[in-house]
Order: sequence, then structure tokens, then C-alpha cells
Amino acid sequence: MRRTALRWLAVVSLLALAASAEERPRYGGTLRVQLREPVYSLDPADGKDLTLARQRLAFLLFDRLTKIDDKGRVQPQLAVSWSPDTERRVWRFYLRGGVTFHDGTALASAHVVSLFANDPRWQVRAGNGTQVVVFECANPIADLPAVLAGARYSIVLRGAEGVQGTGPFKIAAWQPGRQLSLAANLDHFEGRPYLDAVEIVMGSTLREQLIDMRLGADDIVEVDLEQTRRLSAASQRVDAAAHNRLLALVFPSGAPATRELLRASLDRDSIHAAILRRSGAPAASLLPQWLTGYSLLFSGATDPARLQKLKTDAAKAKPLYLAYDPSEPALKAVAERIAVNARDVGLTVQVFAEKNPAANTRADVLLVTLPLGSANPTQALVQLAEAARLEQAELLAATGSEALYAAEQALLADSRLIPVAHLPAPAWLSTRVRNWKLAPDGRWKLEEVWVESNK
Amino acid sequence: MRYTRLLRTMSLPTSRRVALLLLVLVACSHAQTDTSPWTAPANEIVELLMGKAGSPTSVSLEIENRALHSPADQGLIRKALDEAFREAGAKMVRADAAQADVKITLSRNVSGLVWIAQVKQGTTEQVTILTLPDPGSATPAPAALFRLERALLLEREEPILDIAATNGHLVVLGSRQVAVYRREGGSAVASALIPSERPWPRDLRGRIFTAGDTFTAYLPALRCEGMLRPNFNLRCAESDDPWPLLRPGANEPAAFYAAARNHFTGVLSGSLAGRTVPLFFAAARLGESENAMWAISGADGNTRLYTRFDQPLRTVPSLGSDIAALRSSCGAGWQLLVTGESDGTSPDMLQAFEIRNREATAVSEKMVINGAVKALWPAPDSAYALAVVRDAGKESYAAYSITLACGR
Repeated sequence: MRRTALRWLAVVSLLALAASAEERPRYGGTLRVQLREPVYSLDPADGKDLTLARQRLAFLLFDRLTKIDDKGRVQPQLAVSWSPDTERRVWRFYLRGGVTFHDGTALASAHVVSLFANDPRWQVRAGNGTQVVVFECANPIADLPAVLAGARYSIVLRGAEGVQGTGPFKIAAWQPGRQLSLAANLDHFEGRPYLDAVEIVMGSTLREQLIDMRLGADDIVEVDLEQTRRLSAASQRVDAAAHNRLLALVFPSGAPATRELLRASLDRDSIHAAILRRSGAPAASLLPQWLTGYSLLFSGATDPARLQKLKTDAAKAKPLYLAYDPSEPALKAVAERIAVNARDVGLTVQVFAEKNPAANTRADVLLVTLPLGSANPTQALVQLAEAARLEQAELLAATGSEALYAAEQALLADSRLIPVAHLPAPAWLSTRVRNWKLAPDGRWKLEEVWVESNK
Repeated sequence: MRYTRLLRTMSLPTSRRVALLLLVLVACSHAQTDTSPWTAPANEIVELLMGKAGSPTSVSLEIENRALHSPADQGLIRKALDEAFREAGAKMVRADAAQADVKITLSRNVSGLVWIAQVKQGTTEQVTILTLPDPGSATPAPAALFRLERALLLEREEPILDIAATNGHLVVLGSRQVAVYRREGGSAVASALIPSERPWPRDLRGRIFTAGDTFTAYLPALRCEGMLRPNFNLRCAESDDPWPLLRPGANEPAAFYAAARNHFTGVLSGSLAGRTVPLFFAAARLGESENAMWAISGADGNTRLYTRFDQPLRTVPSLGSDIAALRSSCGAGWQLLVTGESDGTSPDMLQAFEIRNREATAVSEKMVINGAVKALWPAPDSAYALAVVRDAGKESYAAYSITLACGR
């Protein structure tokens, strides 16, 4: 009996090992990726909207002075340390020595100064020594290192041949909107990536991506929420763990009462249950529960007396034009449901598709997905405020969870940015992708990925 | 001194074992009451909310557990909060008799725990938010039985690449420094920075060996030598010298390590000079004799078994990339310790195998490791293996000596 059990143990152990034994990372190989969104500029400071795809590419090509770890803490990157004055108006950053841009240019404080010189929130100068940068802020910024960890604050070198960084990968070939070839940066200060190269094809529809993946032509493709469900049911490898995007309504302008009424009309639970098929979570807050722990304090409910007054006023309101991005399949149905909710309170909302809704001037309100971009609440709120052009003064001065909670309440107060749901950004992975780690904020840590070669 | 001294199996009669166990349990329950990790945060949040609410003399308390605390921990938190309110001069009463209704939500975010207190007094509501690190469960997890045994040697936040033991001390090779610790614990008693001009590979590996009062460390393209006494010192120089596979010595097996990678080149040296194998991560000699079998885990995912190095006796697919030989008094006397699956998000494991008729046969149950095994090296005499585990939750590195105990 015991002998049989031991034999069975041995067989089961060997089978388990054969199926899933872990190996050390292996160097070499090319990772093939497809992105739905065509990216036309790799410069993080170029253009207004730093989409999830642009952020993901920025984190591969560029480093920042600081970075946010998976627990939301600020960590050194190109700055090895920093120190504020007592008022948190003057911040000194001490740069890492021996870092070079991809063309071999040594990183110096002058590069950082020139990058940040035109921001009205601060004046930047080189400090004593070539490796010190001093930010003198117009108003106190409680956690400037967290703010500077965002993709928008990437340290880049702009030249005749385009933009360069110090990041783990460098540009090997670039066709804007179509294809990007990356090569490993052998001199990266954290060590070269395991991969030799990454080939990124952009602008493919989700259907094209699915076909290529099924043919084995790709390693990572984006999938939508419905496909995520089907693939997971078919035991495919889909990573949709983190809710790292905010589905929201953004008002570039418009009457405050109309905005407030549209917010009050939203039935987030039915949108989440019926249209999003319970992917993600309904959201009355900008930041999700996993990030702050206090989003449960936000409620979508409106005082009945206030709602009645808003409804009365709405009788005089003009129809609202709501634009959504048709490349994201679920948004059309969400937009239509929002229009139905609005009709229930006396608002007329006309829905139309727009490939780049943020650039549309006809729309009164946009239904967009905004990347959270960070696992640090301060930095994530700053990015959302930047995306919606909201005032940041209170946010930048906030220290501690209570102050951040108050700052988030302030950002929501005039209903220019109305949260609808927090969503994942699912990726479908081939079996040869190893050491895959999706950061909580949606970054792809491709510098840690390695690919399994055929044995 | 041998590491295994810490692991000696107790041989008490059963009745005395039970009595001892009961004594330990009673002592633990008392210790738990006195050192509840929830006391300090409970005092802090009660102090904050009482300050905001004007120190009401009677409160009702509702607790919502959204942090997935166990019922036992939730009970401890409730007790700590009750005590904190009492100490703050507030009586606990029913909601209809309270000056203030307090709801405390135990929540969680990306970096730890979040306690949210909502205090209702009439139509006003005050919110207090307290963030705190997650102390883990205050209630002990049920014990498990393993045939592989481990003893903690060292735990610290800095990476640990290898550890060599000498005269009551542990000489620890890290990514930035060599440090010396006392066996009994505490912080480093001496350390020296490792100078390096080049960035390290991402999956950095290294080895350290001691001989009397000296030590030698091997890192990619770097070799360091140092003295432990009378004055601790360290000298490093760029080097492509081969790394010892078991222990240093001209007639000991060695292999060249790739300078910017995480594997050996496959070119063997020392007593194995002139032999070549495919790129490999680790090599384990299962015996002392010249004809002993070697298991070599290749960078291609295959583990190859050799006696002479002309052709592998057998190729075993997917047997873990970190392997180490263990000498024991069990079974065939030599076992192969292998790592299991982990990408840092799931528990890793260790398991012992024996090579019988050129087949790898499991001879132990799996030892589940809370974290990923980042290094697995044999001791110079193979009496134990050193396993370095990175615990992603605690963000620390722990080094264990792993031995095999006979019988279950």
C-alpha cells in the first residue's frame, strides 16, 4: 500500500514538474506584440493625451527621475535620492552617475533642467555639481517625487533623429502608427533586458489580433472584455487582473447643472452588470478601491431635493452630444445606456462615434477610458487631473490619505470628470511568454519578460 | 559548526511532547493577548476620531471587514478598538443611546491596510482615514509536515546571493556588498562595498567561499578576495576566472560564467578541464568519487545526466533550473534538490529526487516556499543546500539551510 502510494507520489511529482517547472530567465529571443491603438509619437511630452499604449511604450524606452513600485511607493530611478525644504517648495534631486542615453550621451543635470523648464508650476535649475537638479515650486508640492514618476515626465533627449531615452529598450526601427522595433539596451543601469528585441505592430483591429494570435504569429495581444471572458473559459492565458483604466465622462465645458444632472442620472450598477458583463467595477470615485482603500466612501447618490431641482432646470437645457471611441467595442453600448439614463431625468443625449473623441469639437461630453498610469494615488490623481484639464493645486499640496480623499472630492465637485467604471486592460499571452508581470497600473514590464525557445 | 545542529529532531516521549505542546500553546495565547498588532492602530484611530468628534462619552461601534481579515483577527481588532474607546473615556452603547455612531471599515489598498472611521453625530459626518502596514495574520497558520527541513540563517531586505559559514559567523554576498553577520542574528558586524563599473545582469548570481580567515567571492566578470580578521577588508578585480562548482581548489570542478548573463558558458575547468557541456544554470555532483554522476540543468530547460562528459546519459526535460546535490543518511545517500514553479506571484517549492536507473524519482514531498527561490547552492560538503527565498509580500530575502530528514 505504502509502496504504491510512493510510486504514485513520484509519478505525480514528475508530471507536475514536467508541466510547470520554473526555470531561470533565459536571454535572447524576440517578443511579438500587437497594439490596437496606432501610436504616432513616442515623445511623452508630445500631444495632449497620454494614452495607455503611449504610456506603455514610454516605460520601455525612457526612465524617469523616480518610479512607482507595485505597492505604490516612490523609488529611485535616474535620481538616486532627493530632499525637500521644510515647506516642500524647493526639491533637490541627485542624479545617478554613469547613465547614458541610447546614443551614448551621458545624462547630466542640464538635460533635466531643459526638459522641465517650461512648466509654470516650478522653476528648474542645476544645483551645485553637475548631477544635482533643483525644483523651486510656485506652491508647495507635497510629493513631487511621486508626480515626476509619471510617463509624461520621462527623461528624453530630443535631436534630429527623434527622441531618445535611457530606458531598457531602444528604438531600432520606427514607422509611426504602424510598427516599432525595439532592441535591448545593453547598458541599462538595471541590467540589460532578457529579450533581444520586441516587435510591436500597431493599429490592428481586435479581430486581426485574435487571428494572428491563433496562428501563433504573436506573443501578446490586447483583447476586449467579451473576448476575455471567452478566452478564459477556453483556458487561454489572459491577464485581466488589475483594474487600471477609468471609464469616465469628460466635459470640456458645459453648464454645471447639466453636468451634475448627468452624473446623478447614471445607473452605474446596471451598466456594470448588463453592458460590461461584470468586468471591472462600477465607479463613483476616480481611483479604484485597490489603489486607495477608501473609494467605498464615494457614493453616486444625489440628494432627492437637489435632483428634483436639477430636473426642473433641465427642461430648458439643450441636447448634449456625447462622443465615444468606436474602437473599444463596449463603449457604444455604454454610451447608449447613458443616453437612456439621461432621458429618465429629462436630459436629451445624442450619441455618436468619433475615432479620436478628445480632438472632437462638436461633442459636449466625451466617453473615454483614461489610464490610471500609476500605483501611487497621488500620481494617478495628477494624471487624471491632467487628462481632464482639472485644477491640481489642492491635490499637489495633499499629504496623507485624508488630504488625498479631500482632493479627490474636490476634483469631482464640479462634475467635469464623471467616473463610470474601473476596467481592466486585458492582454492575451502565448505560452512561450515567461515571467510576465502586469504592473497594477497597467504597465507591461517587458524588461523582465523572457521567451521560451523550442526545446 | 554545522548548520544541521539547529535541526536536530527532538526525541521526547509522546506524553511529554503533548505536555510541551500544550505549554507552548498556552504561552502563545498569552503572548498574543499582550502583543496584539492591532492595539497601536486601534489607539491611534480612536484618538484621531475622538479629537474630531469632540470626545463623545458614549459611542456605538460597527465594524465592516473589507480587508479579508480572518474571523480570529477581526475578533482581536474588535477587542483592541473596544479597549481603545474605553481608555479614551467613551462607553460602548447601542446606536439609539449613543452620542456618536462610529463605523470603522477595515479596508486594504495597494500598499497595506486602510482603516476608515465614519462618525455620525446628528446630521454631520466626519471621516478619519488611517493607513498602516499589513502586519499579516496575528493568528498562527496550521503547521505542515515536510521531509525536507529548513532552518532560517538570515533574513534581510537586501538581496542575498550566497552565504558561507565560518567560525560562528555568516559571510554574506549581496549585490552591493559583502557583509559579516553573527550566527545568532543581529545586524551586520562588518561590511564592504563591492566596486563595479558595469551594471549587473538583472538575474544577478554569485558565490562566496571561506577558508580560515579569508574569503573569495565570484560575481559576473568580477572576483573579490578579502580578510575577515584581524581587519575586515575586500579587494575586487575584473576577472574571467572560472567559478568553483563545489569548493575552491585547483583540482576541484569549476566552470566559466557568462559575464552579462545568468548562466555558465558550458566550458568546464579545474578537475573537469577540457570538457564542455551546453550552457547551464547549475551543476550537482551526486557523489564524491571521480565517476560520480553529475546533473546539469541547461539553459535550454533540459537537465542532463553525465558520468563522463562526452555524451549525456539521459536528458530529462523541465526538472527545474536550480538544482543542488544533498548528501544525507537517507536512501541512496545523495539526492538532487530541485526548485519548482514560481514567478514571484505564487509560492515556490523544493523537492528532493534520486536518480535511479537514469530516471529522476521524487523521494520527498514538496516543501512549499512562501516566495520565489532566487538562489540554490550546495554547501562545500553537500551536507545541506543554501536556498535564498525572496518573499514578495514582505519584500525581503531569507536564506535557509535545507537538509533531508529520513522518515516522515
